[in-house]
Amino acid sequence: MTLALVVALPLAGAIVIALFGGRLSRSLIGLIATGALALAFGAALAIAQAFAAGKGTLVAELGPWLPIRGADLTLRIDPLTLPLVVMVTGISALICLYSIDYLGHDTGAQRYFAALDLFVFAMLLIVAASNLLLLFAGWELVGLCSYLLIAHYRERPVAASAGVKAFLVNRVGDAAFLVGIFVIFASFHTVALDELTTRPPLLAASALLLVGALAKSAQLPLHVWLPDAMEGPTPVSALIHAATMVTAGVVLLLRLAPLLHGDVLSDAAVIGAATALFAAIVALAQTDHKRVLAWSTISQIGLMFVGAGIGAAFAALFHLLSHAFFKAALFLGSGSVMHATDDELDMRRLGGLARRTPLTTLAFACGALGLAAIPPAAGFFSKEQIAAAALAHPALLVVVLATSAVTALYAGRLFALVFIAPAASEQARGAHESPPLMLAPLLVLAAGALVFGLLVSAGAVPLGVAGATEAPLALSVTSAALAVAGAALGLALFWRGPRSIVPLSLADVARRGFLIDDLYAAALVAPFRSLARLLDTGSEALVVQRSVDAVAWIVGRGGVIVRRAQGGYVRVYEAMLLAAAVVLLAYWSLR
Amino acid sequence: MPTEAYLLLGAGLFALGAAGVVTRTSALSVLIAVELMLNAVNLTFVAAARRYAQVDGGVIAFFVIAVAAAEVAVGLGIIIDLARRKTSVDVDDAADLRG
Repeated sequence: MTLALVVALPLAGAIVIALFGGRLSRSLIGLIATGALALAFGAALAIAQAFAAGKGTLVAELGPWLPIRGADLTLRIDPLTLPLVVMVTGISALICLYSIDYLGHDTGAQRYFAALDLFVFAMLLIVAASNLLLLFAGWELVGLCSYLLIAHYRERPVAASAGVKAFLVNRVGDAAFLVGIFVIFASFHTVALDELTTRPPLLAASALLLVGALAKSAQLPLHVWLPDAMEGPTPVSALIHAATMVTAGVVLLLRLAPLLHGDVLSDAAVIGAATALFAAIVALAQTDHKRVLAWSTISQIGLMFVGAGIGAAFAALFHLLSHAFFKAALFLGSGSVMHATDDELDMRRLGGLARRTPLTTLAFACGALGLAAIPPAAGFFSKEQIAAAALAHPALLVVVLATSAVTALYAGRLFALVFIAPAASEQARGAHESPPLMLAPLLVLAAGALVFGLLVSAGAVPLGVAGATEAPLALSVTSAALAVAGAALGLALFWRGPRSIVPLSLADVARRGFLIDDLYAAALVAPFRSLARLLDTGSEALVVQRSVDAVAWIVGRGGVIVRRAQGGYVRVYEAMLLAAAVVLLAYWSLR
Repeated sequence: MPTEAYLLLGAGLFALGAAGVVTRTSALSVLIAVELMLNAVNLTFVAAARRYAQVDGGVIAFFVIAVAAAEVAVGLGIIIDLARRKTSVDVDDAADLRG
């Protein structure tokens, strides 16, 4: 019952806002949305309490759905997914609270909050679904909501096309995921997860599911949608990155780990490692502070894929949760910076905000500490877990450590450029602190980013999954040293303001994500566009337009002929009637 | 008299009426011609009733007479309205509904 409540409350909030939001004031809509999420969070905490008291799993059977074995409306929570449910509801509630003031003047608030609640509902469905089809329903809903929210500023063409891009790239993964489900169903005739976990893993289905996870989690080579998704409102970015969307791929890998073939899992780890390092380097070259965070999410999710791929479920889950805290704090901090500086995104035009917006700076610093994995922030402990799990795979370990160093470097650069460097524009000089309703969630998340790792490491917050490894002291020292050194270097290089260290052309290539986007544009979008143009001028004009014209012409000519009979003279009609009667009579009598 | 004679007379009257309906331009004449056609049919019904010694044909003839009365009422109404609108009762003047 509580479980059904957790999932249903956000949906109810979305429906209420969608149906009746038009008559309510903007802040009331926001309060309803936040209230629904906060209540869901409360219910999730109640479940957590029950689990702490020794409950193993919680199942809510809501009724039958499809006439397929296992495809019922059934939710289940186990110790693995419980922390996710608590995190998703809690962080979403904070982000939603923050959005009330952030969208204080937005005419699309009803749309926004309805989609936000629906988004959380969809993610909870992914986390708590008991079978593959229900999970897929949530998966699709997440894609839909991401489209709605990324394209929230729909009057801006960039935002609209970013929404479409996210939707389309995700579609690639969704299609693979669906085919994967078909393969599994064709082999085992069931979609229930608890039945499937006892079956031998299938290589093809596992690979297809992995493609789905890659697209949703923005991993190479399907990462291109995420940086563009920055066109959405900043709290949406926080939601997508921290709580509801990109982590879905990791959740999928963790939940379906028993179904996935070992080869595919190790592929996931390799792809994750490659993505982590690649995206970290790209993040280093960004000039837009939101895009730094976007690329850093891609990179951090890559680390989670490494953890999930090498079977370190605890490490991946731990990093997912601590990432949720610090990334939400960073994004909301970024939003607060934008709020303070009239939506200035370019770091080269910012600076000096530390003095003008002290609380935002404090929160952002906590988030950045988490991201850079400097002890004792949350990221340090979770990243250390991943590194410790990767000890058996030297190549992966090297990549993970290198990523950590680069991450700390760009985190330091980001913080230095936005908050410490001399103010570089009017907006930066005129910055003002955000309203308390925005600062409160920000500070809560910042505190989480700071202490969450300690709490988990000390055992105060149980994650429910066993597998915490004691990292060797040498590894801890190495990763801490790398993080501190990277962050210090970043701060030292950029505290006076932006400067170029590598040749500009190279930096530009890196800033554009090593041109993978341009590659797609040239290899996929351009041919498709030419084909569309060909069809437009070729088949559309020659075939479709001509045939429509021909039909119209035939009807017109026919009308000209037939209307001659309609002269309007009654006597002509009477004569026709008589003639028809004579013909009919003749026919009947001669037959 | 053989029944055929009545039938022939009925057919002749019907043809006359039909010709009148098609050729006459005065609405009143058309109405009279229609009346002629109806009564030609009546004659046929009555002749058949007599030939087979059954009342059915006579009954139908009465129905036709009743219907014809109603038809004349409606027809005259239409003609009066036509006369008001067109200041003539020529059916060829009422040819506004053309294609």
